[in-house]
Amino acid sequence: MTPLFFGSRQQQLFGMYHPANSRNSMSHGVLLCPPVGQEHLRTYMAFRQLAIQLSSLGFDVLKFDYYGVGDSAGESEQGSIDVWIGDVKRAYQELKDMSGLQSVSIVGLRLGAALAAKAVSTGLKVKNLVLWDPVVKGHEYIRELRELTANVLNGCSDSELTHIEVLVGFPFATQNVASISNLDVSEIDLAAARNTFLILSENRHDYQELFTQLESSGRKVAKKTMNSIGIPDDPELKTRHEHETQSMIAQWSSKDEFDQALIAHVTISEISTILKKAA
Amino acid sequence: MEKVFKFGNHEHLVGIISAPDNMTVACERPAVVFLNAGLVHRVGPYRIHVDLGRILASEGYLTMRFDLSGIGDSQFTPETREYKETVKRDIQDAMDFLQQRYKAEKFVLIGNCSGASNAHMVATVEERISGLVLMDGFFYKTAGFYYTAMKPYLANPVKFIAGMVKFLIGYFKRLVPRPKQEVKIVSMFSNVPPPKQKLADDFANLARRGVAMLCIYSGSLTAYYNYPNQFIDMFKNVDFRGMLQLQYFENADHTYTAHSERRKLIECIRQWLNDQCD
Repeated sequence: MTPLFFGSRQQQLFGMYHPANSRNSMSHGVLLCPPVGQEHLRTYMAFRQLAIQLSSLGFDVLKFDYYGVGDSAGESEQGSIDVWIGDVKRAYQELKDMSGLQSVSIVGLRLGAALAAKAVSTGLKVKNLVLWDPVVKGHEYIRELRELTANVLNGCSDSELTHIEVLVGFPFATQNVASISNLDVSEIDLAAARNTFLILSENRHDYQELFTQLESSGRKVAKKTMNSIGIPDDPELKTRHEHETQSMIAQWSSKDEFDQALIAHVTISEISTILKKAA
Repeated sequence: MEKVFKFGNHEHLVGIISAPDNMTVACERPAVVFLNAGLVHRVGPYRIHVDLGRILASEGYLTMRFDLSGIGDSQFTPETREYKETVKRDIQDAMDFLQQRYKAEKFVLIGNCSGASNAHMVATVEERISGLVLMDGFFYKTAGFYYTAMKPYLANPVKFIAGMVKFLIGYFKRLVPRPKQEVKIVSMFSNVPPPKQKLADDFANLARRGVAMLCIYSGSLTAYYNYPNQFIDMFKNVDFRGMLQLQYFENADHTYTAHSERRKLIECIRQWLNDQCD
């Protein structure tokens, strides 16, 4: 496991490279694209677990922070959609350089899934694109963040800076908020991804819309909704399994969970299995 | 520009150094080490360790944010140790690293919640620590706490009666025998405070040693801390010898979610540090 900074001196990005377990190398790289803001903090441990699991299965893995996020350079409000899409491409190249591999898949979570999809739409070639609870409609995502912000702060205002909007404690440039609001992943061409997988915590109309759009455009796409994975037939076991599964599914807009770490070992196992079969 | 390192006896810890351009100034100041708040990785809640670390580096301080064993990107130590001993060893490894690589001799530890508890624990055995910033660290209820909690009820008879009913219901519920738990589960992150007298003795010893202390409390944990000078009353028999500064951010929650409150917190810590170096 190698922590590193990469990219230009002024815009250095932080990354963690997990080399493949040498005994069963898949000769395949996986780039992990995280969420931003509070979701970035919530999911850091889960992404680390995913990296470790994929690495043990023989994948070379790079997880990284975008500009203005986590340990990367830049203040939080300096990040933007365009810069972050560029960061995905930089990280993709860094993974190839470090591993010496040409075959790469990407796993994107929440806004990270949208950024990965946008990067792929510009021609970034990936074998498998895994979109985990993707932000499909940017304006919905921003609306949910605004509602959550109001709930968490009990309606108090947190906007004393011009050209900045604070969403769940993190400052975003208002221009970037507008750009995020204009995102629509269902309109993105994912031709550069050979396979696309949707890993979903729940049934939402925008997830279904995305899946339908991808199917109708002839893309090879599969969907798995985690609240129905492996439910046993026995009624008593079924009830307990559903309760346990529900507690492990992220509630992205919940005030009760907004500062809780994501526990997702079932989803992580599912993603690892999918990538192992598809690599 | 920041640098990332792996360090520790087994190179299992990951930390990021924010160093000033002019290290000559930094050598005359304590190095600042940020400790994990609960399970949040080294960037801190809302990235506060990154923001504050970079501000301090621009003002001449050597700073490090790192992950304790098993948190963030740090691996678990292969050595078998009790958890608190691992935490102590990790923090000492961080100080050893800064001492060996950057010739740092004195350190200020900054911690929130479990981070505050860990900072205090290490400070009691580490002479190299010259300052502590403890956020929402320790809570003991005082007469002032109960008076502050009761005030709204005393002023409002309806609220008083409703409060008494709720109290009595809770009291009788606790009298009902419950089945004993088969297994007692203690979270490795549970923050069980030490006995109050031990803590008082620790603070007295730290003050005697000349360790500067900034104790900060947020206003959200009203079940435990509900007025500005509660800390003073908690330890009213301790002679802090002028080494204590107490700060109460009444409108802040435990992790300073509100950006406006976070900016006040950053300024408070920055000013306090600069005052120690003057």
